[in-house]
Amino acid sequence: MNDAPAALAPYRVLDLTTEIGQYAGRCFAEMGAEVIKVEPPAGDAVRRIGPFFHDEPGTNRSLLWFVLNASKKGVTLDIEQPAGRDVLRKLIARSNLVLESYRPGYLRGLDIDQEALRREHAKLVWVSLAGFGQDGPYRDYKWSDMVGQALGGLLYLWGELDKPPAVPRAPQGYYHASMAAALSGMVALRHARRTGHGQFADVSMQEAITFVLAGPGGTTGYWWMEGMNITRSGPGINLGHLISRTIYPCKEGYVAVSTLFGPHFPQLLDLMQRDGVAGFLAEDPKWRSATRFAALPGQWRCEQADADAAEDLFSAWLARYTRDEIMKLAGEHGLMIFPVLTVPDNLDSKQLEARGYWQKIEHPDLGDTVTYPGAPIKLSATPWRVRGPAPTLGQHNDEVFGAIGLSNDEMQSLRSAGVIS
Amino acid sequence: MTENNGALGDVNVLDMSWVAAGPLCGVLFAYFGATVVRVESAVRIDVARVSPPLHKGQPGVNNSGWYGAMNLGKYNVCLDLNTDAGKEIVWKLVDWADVVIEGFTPGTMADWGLGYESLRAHKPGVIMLSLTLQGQTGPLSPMRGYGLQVQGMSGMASLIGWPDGPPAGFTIAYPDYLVPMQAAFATVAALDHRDRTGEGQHLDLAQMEATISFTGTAAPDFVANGRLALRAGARLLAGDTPVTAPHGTYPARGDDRWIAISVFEDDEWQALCGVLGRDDWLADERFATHDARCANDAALDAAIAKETAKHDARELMERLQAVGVPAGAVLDQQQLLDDPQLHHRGHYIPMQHPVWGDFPAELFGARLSETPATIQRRAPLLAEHNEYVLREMLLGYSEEDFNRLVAQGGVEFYSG
Repeated sequence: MNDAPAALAPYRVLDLTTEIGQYAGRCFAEMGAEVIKVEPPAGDAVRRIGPFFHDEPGTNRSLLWFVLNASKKGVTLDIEQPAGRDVLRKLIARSNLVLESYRPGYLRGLDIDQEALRREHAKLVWVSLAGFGQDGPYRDYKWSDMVGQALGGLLYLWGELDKPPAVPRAPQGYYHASMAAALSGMVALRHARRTGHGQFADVSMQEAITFVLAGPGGTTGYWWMEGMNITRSGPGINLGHLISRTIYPCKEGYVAVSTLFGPHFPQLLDLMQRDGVAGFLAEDPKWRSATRFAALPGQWRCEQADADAAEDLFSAWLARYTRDEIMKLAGEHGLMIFPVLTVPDNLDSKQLEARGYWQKIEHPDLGDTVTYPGAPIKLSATPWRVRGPAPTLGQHNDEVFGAIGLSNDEMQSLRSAGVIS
Repeated sequence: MTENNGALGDVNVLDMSWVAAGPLCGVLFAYFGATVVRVESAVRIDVARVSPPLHKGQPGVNNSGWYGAMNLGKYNVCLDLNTDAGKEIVWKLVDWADVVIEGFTPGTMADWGLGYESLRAHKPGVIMLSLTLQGQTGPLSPMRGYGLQVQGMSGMASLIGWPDGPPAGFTIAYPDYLVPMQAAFATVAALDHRDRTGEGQHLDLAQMEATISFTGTAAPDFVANGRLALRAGARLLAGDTPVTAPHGTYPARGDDRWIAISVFEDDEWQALCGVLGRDDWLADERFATHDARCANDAALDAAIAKETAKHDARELMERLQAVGVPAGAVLDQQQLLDDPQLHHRGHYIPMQHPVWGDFPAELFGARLSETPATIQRRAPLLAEHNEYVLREMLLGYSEEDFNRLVAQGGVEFYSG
């Protein structure tokens, strides 16, 4: 597998992004492009964010840095110095794709202007990421992952109704911004190869989030079709006029059920009856054909209050068993109940092991391996895989600066001037 | 300027998937100019077609705004793949397609004689994208169901909510929306590889794996440090300690109104105190430094919440951003539709639908200068393009052949 061809091997990507865009570069790197992450001589800000390897802070120990920058090469460069900008222009000249996420206008202020550079390099693709895009009333707004999710409409959906919105403990806004950048960059790279014309892509985290959940996700449609907003619904799914409880605690742990009523419900009811906790559900046969949706012939459509009462009984039944006991019953009786898992469950997963999902990557400077989530998708001919650790600070300076023709003397003088480290 | 017919204007996509994750991959191709033909059954209706939001809240196979958003720009034909006539048509579509998307339980396509090996034997350059919950291989491969299950199993749900409450990230079936971007990125890369080498391939996406890839440091932190990092409300934590404070979602004036504020720098803290009229906090030793704020973040959150509750969320956001404090009003769907920045970017495209009338279609989240994303047409009605696709657009069947295929049961029409 390791000598399989890589789909993006012909491409070079220059990654000038901060946390908002670093996952995009990782996608290109893991599909085989040469991705060079450029950071200031003091190191990228993400290097200072924990958690750290063995909980010991250090420039080359941030796990967040690792998961956003695996498989890339890394160089240091102070682009605020003219000599640094000369080097940057040389790096751009040999790149097919530039990814950047400085505040809008910052690079132009340094005379690094994508329009001029694209005139010079006709096939160059330039992708700029920002919280809200390169112009418009929010152009200069400061962003964080959470602020992007707030204005993108995602934050309103996370958490419980009687509490403030919650923020996922992994930067979903930054991931969506990165994926919009990755897909834009990918279609533009292919277009440039076919036509000889590069282009500019302006990515907004806010809009990327809105697109993912409101556009195709259809959530804004609740307003313009049905005149309602769907709200966060705690451990349930919100389908506008009905909220279905999805997650339930058991004696130990949690389980999830996509829909309580469904093909499995008669078997479930038998088990609840066996345990003497079916309550009113046992009294009327209509419950065996209950549905929350439009009723087909032979079905009985129940209202929110009916469903809430049934969910309470189901909940009481689940509380008698542990998660693992429930999953055993589910397997034996064909119940559509699924475990709510956490990291240790999935590190031991036979399914993920059979598919070789987790990747242990050697980090020579740590003298140890780091476990990375592997490819999000398996490609039969040109695998997506973690190709190496995230770079240590300045790890590839000599290799990369040598490749653009800097002599040892030139590198030494840049180093003395603090342009590279 | 090149003539714009989309970056993927040369690409044909046969979209045989259903519900959400697969159709969402197809729609991404449509935004970038590909010709996408969605195959459905007019008998076994795609559940998305009857799922909310619904026009006037009423059921009907062409009433769903959800289906409508996930199938913008596509053509629709209805086929019965269990008939020889249906198979004859689908093989013609395979000949036409560069990419075949499917989301059936593993083995289903092979049962129809349409597994990847059969497609490849017929057409070596074909790219097949399969989306399932657990993947094409492994003991859980046969698992059926919905993205919600993966939200729980992947560990994503456990990262969302409050520490003293249940996992609470289920308002939407989040994995269905997250995985299509990864799948489309990889598929375009596979197309690029095919262009250069002639080699096609099979892309096997497990929603489980793709969702885990969005869980940040959760797994490496557990392996390296033995820490099980779970949901933490609205705090931004690294390990067990706050990265910064204040970082939270605070109440604003009105019912269920909130503002997100994340302060990283001392000057942002000072500006926040100024806007809230609490310069006295600058002298409060509990809040004076970054470290002090992190150590006292619960008290800080409570104090800020009392102040923000006096303000309108959007007005407060504008005042905070004007002095350089990262802040965002928590927008609901109505507010998204009115948002000035999204309007400035032309995010909403006015369109018309024969059942719903005027509606706002939503554009992709990036603006490409030479080949912008576009919406070529509204989502198709059920069976709308049967004759057009088979006779005119693609396959060139004669009227006689078309009638034969209908008579043989290969083409389905919706009878209501």
